[in-house]
Amino acid sequence: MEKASRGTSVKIAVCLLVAVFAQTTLAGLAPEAISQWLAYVDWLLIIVVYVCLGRDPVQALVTAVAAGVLHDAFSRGPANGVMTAIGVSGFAYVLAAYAADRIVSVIVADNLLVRFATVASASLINTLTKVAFYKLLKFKLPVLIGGKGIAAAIVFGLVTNLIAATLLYIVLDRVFNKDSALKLRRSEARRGKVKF
Amino acid sequence: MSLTDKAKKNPTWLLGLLLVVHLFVISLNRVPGQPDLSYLQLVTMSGMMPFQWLASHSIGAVKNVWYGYADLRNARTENEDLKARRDQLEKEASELRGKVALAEQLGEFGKAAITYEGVIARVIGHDANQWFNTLYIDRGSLAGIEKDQPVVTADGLVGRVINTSPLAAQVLLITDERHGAGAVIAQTETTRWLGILEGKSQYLCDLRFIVPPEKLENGESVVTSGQDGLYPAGLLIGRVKSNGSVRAPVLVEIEPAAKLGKLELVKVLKVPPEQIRGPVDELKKEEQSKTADRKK
Repeated sequence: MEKASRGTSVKIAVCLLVAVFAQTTLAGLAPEAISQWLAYVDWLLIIVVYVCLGRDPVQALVTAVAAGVLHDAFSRGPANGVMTAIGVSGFAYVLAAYAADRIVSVIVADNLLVRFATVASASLINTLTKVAFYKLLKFKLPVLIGGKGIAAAIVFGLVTNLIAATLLYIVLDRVFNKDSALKLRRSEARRGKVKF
Repeated sequence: MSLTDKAKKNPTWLLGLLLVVHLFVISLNRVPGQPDLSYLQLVTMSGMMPFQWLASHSIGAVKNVWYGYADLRNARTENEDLKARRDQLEKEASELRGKVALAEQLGEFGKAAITYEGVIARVIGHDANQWFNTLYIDRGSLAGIEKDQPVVTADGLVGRVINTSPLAAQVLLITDERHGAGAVIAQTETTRWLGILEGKSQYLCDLRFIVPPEKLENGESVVTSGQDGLYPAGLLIGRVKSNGSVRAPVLVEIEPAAKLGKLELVKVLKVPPEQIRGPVDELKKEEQSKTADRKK
């Protein structure tokens, strides 16, 4: 059991590293038409939400903190004495992870609809939290000027994250052996070992 | 069993936790000599650099092979096109020779970028947040890159270095909203109207004129003035983007000359700091002498 949990942690760590790599590099390498959309995808958030689907709140929140640290390390270096945004991403990810965990703890089923709901709510909370903090910190970002920019960021973030998550979760299910774990739980339930 | 009992039985996890917490706290400290850079950024920038370098190079190699194949297929039609184009260019070249003579009389514009030594670097990554305009290059302090050095492409100014680690550096693009915080002074190329350059969005900047010009043409080139102590004079920033000519504008949009959305290779100019600071220091000296005279 402990071995399995350790293995999962390692897998999550690797996934986060791959996600931050994708977040900083992928949009620059893709053709222009795709890169505009790829820039909106928050790969780290998608990984955090996936961990939330495992119904382990501690693991989910720790993953969110790690994702925040990784994000901050690759974002917004300080310039001209203007402060950085260290901690904002972590805060947003933790909030999003908590919301996603609440959703999956209330809805027992694990299907595409539940996944859509968790990714959508997490994406929404993530964007709104970041926007709120950047406004508080008085960043002069174009996205913060007027409601249109914020609305566009929310909508584009939501759509691109949903599409990317749908595709990525197929791969992650195989990486984390989720299908076989689910089958095992079902067969045990049929035999009466586990009560849902 | 309480947490303390668990820790007593197997203290490894507690040790690991404490080490991680301490490492995190240490990583928030500033790097000596680089107060803007934390150890966390230094370690991660250096650690991720080989993977980003490998990815950008391998994808670049695959791209080259594919384009080479595609080029071969289109070679014949391209050859005929090129012949026609050569005739056209010969005609244009004679016209341009006349313009070159005129350009030489206009001054030292454009020479700055050519005369400085530089380090060619490959763009290996962008900011993790799509709202911030910074990027990472695969050359750092080991290649002689220092903070505040200008970064250019063949097309124009890209930005300046804000952080360096031994193997990588972070560049603040001219389109970042913080770019103007250092009061980057630019000027129109032909009429020399001075203005402060401010990053606006992912693809545009604003030029806020100190004294509004009487008239400004669409497409007018904007270059660095060298009076801000940040960039040397004569680096092409971009062109005025407006519908036709504008009368007495206070603020105009500037379209960067460098293709900031598709950067692959950039050049970090090794401009001596005293050369950049020169005009500012002279102004300060003048001001100091004036105030001293007034006191007398």
